[in-house]
Amino acid sequence: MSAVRKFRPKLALTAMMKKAGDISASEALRRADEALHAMEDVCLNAVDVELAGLEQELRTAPQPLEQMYKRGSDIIGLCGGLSAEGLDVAAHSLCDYIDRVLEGEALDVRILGVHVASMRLLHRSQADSAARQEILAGLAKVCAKRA
Amino acid sequence: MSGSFQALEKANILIVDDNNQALEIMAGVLMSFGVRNIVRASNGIDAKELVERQSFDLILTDAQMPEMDGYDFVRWLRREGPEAMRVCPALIITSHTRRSEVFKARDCGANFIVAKPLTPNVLLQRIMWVARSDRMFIECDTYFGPDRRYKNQGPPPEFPEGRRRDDVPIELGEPAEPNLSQDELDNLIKPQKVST
Repeated sequence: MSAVRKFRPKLALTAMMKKAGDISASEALRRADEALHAMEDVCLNAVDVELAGLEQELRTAPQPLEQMYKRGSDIIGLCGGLSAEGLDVAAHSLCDYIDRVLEGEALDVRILGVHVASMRLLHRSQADSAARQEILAGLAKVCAKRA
Repeated sequence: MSGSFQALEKANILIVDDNNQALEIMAGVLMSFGVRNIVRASNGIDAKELVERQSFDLILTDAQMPEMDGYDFVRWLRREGPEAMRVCPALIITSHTRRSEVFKARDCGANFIVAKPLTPNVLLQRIMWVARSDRMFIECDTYFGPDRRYKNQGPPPEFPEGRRRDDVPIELGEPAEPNLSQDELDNLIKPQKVST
C-alpha cells in the first residue's frame, strides 16, 4: 500500500480573509451586480454571434457537434452577465444532448433544432418568467421523449 | 453572508478562460470584491507558465479549454507545480461537465467545482469557504489535493449550514417511522436463491 500524507496547508488567503476590512459582503455583491450590468451589452452581442453560429451550423451536414458544444458552453458562461432567465438552462440542455450523442446516442438533428430555436426565443426576449418556463418545459418534453 | 473584504485587495489572483467575455465577467466580479491584482490567461499552458514565474493566492480556471483544460492544469499544479503553489486554492468553473470528464474532475485536486453562469454570490461564498476551510490535504500515489471524503454525518463542521440543499443537519430529529422488527431485519440479510 502506498504511503498517505495528510496535512493542513497554511494559506495566505486565510490570513487575508481574517483581517477586517471596509467593504461589507452586501456592498461587494451590490458592486458586483453593477459591474455585471455594465457588461450586459457586450454579453448580449456575444450571444448574438454564438446563436447565429449555431443556426448556421445546424444547416451544415454533418453538423460540427464539437463546435456546437463549444458555442453552447460559451453561452452558459455569457449568461453570467445577462438577466435572460432560462437561456443558460436551454444551453446546458444542448451541451448535455451533444455530449450524449458524442458518447454514442443516435443524433436527431430536429432535437438540435429545437434547442437552438428555444435559445433564440429566450434571448433578447421580453417574455415573462411563466412564458420562459413554458419554453423550457417544452424543450424538456422533447428531450425526454427521445431519451 | 457576512464578512469584509478590504483584505482581498492584496490578493494575487490568476483567472484562466479561453473566452474573453467570460474572463472579463470573472475579473469584473473580483474587482468588485476589492481585488486589485488579477492576472489573466487564456489557456492552461499559459497559466502553467505564469504559475512557474510568480505565486498566486487563488486560481480560478475554466474547465474546458483547448490544448490544456482546467482539470489538467490543476492536476499539474498539485503534482508538478512549484512547491509553494502546490496547495494554492484552485476553483474550477465549468459550464457543463461531459460524462467522460466526471472522474477527471473529481480526481484533479480542485478545492471546488463551480457551475456557470457565475454569480457574485456563489463566487464570494466559495472564496470564503476555501479561505476558512479546515480541510486536510491528502498526498498519495494517486491523488494530491483537498480531502474529497465527507462522512455521512451531516455537513462538515466548518460548514454547519451544509454545502448542498439536501445535506442532513448535524442535529438529527426523531425517526419518521417505527424501528424495523427483528423479522424485517433478518429478512434483509437472509440468503436468497438467484434465479438464472
